[in-house]
Amino acid sequence: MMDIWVAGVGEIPCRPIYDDMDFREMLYRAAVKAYFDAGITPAEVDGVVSSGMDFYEGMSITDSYTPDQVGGRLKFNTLVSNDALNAIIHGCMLLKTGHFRTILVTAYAKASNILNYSEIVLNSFDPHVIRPLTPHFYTIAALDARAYLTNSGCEARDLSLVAAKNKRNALRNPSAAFAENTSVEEVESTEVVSEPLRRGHVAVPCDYAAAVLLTTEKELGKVRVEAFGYAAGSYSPDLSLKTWGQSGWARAALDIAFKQTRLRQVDFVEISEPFAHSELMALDAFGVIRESICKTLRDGGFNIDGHLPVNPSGGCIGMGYPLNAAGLQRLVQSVNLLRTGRWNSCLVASPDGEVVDGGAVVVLRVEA
Amino acid sequence: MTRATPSRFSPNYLQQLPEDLARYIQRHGLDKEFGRLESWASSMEKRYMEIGEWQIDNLVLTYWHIACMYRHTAGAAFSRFLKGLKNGKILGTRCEGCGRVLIPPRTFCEWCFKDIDTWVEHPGAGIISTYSLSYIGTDPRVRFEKPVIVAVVWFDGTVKKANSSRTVLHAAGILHKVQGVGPEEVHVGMRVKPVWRKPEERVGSILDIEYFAPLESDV
Ligand SMILES: [Zn+2]
Repeated sequence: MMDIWVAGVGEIPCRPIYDDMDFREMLYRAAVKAYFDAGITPAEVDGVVSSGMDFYEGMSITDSYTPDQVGGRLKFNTLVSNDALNAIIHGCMLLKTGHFRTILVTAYAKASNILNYSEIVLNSFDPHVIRPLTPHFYTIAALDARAYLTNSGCEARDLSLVAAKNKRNALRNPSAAFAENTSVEEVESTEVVSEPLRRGHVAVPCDYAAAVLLTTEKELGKVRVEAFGYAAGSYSPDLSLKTWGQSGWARAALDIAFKQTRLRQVDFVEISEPFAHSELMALDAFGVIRESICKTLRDGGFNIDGHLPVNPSGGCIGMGYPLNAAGLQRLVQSVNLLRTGRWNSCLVASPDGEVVDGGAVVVLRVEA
Repeated sequence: MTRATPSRFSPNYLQQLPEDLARYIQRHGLDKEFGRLESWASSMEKRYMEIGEWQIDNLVLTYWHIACMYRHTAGAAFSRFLKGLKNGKILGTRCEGCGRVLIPPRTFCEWCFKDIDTWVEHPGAGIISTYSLSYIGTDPRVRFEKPVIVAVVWFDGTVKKANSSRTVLHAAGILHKVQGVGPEEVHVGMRVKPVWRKPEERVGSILDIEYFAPLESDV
C-alpha cells in the first residue's frame, strides 16, 4: 500500500472578522506558510483540492478562483462541496492513483461576509415542507440535542461541560478566536437560544484559511495519514428520515477507516463541533469509549490531561466555527499537536455541516 | 451603496414563462422582485418569505424568495484600487520578480508566488485587445436595439510578449464598456482612455469610470 504523509500545514488564525484581506489574500498567507513548513515550492505540487460552498461564499463556482493564490496555476484543480476533511480524503485518493506526488488541500471561511447566515442554512431544507416553517438551524440542532440527551442519559448541563472544556483548551492555541478561562456555571448562565441549547453551546462562525500539503514522498512526511473514511448518514432534505440524536455517519465512516489500519486506539480526538452536543453524539457513535460518554465527560476523561483528550485544540467552540473549513482546521490542529511530541496518534473527524448527518474521519500517526 | 448597478427588471422576462404562471407572478407583484437591485436597507426590511400556491392541473409550485445577503470584503489590493478610482486614479502593483504590472492589483504574484508591495499609478490609456458587440442582457429574452460594446483594455506599457513570438504572456487589462464609437468603427488595437464620472459622483467603484472612449487621435 502506498503511504500518504502530511508534508506541511499552514493557517491564518481564526478571527471573528478579517476586514483587511479578501479570501484570496487569506488563502495566499495560509499557502505560503504550508509551503514553508513543507520546505517545497509550488513548482513541486501536482494539483489542488479545495472545499467550498458557493452559498457560503456568495459567488458561483468559486473553485475557479482557487488556484492562483495557492500556487495551483495551470495545475490539476478540483473542489468538493463538503466539509474540508472530505477534501483531504479526495487529495489522498488522488495520490493513491499514483499519478500525483504532492497535492495541496485548501479551504477558507469568510463568515463575516455573510449577513444572514441562518437564512443561508434555511435554504438547505426542503422548500415545501420545512422552509415555510422557517425554523432556525439552532432549533433543528436543538432537536438533535434533546434526542441525544434523552437517549444517552446525559443532562443539559453536560453540554456546558463540553463548551467550558473547549474554551479553556483554546487558551493554549494561538489560532483560537474564542478562548476563555470560563467555568461550567458561566456557560450555564448564557441565554437559551433553543432549548436545550444555550448561546454558550454554539460555536461562533469565524474567518479562517488553511492549506495542507499531502505527499507520497516519505522524506517530506511529518505525520502519516493512516486511514480515512467518509459516510453519509440517514438523511432526507425534508428531515423526515433523519435519525435524531445520532451521528449515523460517524461509525460508518470509522468502519471504512478501520479497513485501512489495525490501529484501534488513539491518543486524542479532534472533532468539529458546531454545537456542544455534536461532539458527544459523534463520540458516542464512534464507540471509542467503553464507559458511558457522559460519565467519562464528567470525570474529566476528555480533558486535555484525561485518558482520551477530545478537542485539545479548543475545537470549534474555542477556536471559532469556520463553516466548511472546519475539517481542515481540525486537521491542521491535529498535525500541530502531534508534532509537539506529546501524542503519537489521533482521530480527526468533521461533520458536513451543523445539522447534516454525514461526515469524514482521518486517522493520523507519527512514527515512533 | 445605492447606485452601484443599473440593472432593472425587464417586462420581457415574463414572456418566456407559461401564461398562467406569468399571470400569477404579476398578480402577486412577484415580478417586481426580479433582477432589481435594492439598497441594503430596503432589502433587510424585505418580507422574510412569500409562499403562494399556484395550480395548473396537478402541478403545485411553492414560490420561495431566496434572500441571501453578503458584504464582500474587497481585501488589501482591491480596497486600494477602488479608493484610487474614487480619486480618479488607476492604481496597480508591480511584481519585482517577473516585472509584471497588475491592474487591477494583487498583493501576491501567482507566477513568482511572492508578496508584491510595489504600487504604480497608470494614466489609463491603452488599446482594445478584444471586444464584443453585445445585443443581450442577463434578463432572458432581452434584446438591445443598439449593442453595448464590451471590451478588454490593455494598459499602455504593461504588455509582455514572449521573446521569440508575438504571443502575449501578460498584460494589465480590465474589462469595461466602450462608448463614443460606433459598432462599425470599433476594432482590436483601437486606442482608448477612461472617461471618469464627476468627482462628487464617484463612490469607489469600477463604475467610477463611466466607460472607455477612443483617444482623439484615433477617431
Ligand atoms: Zn512575479
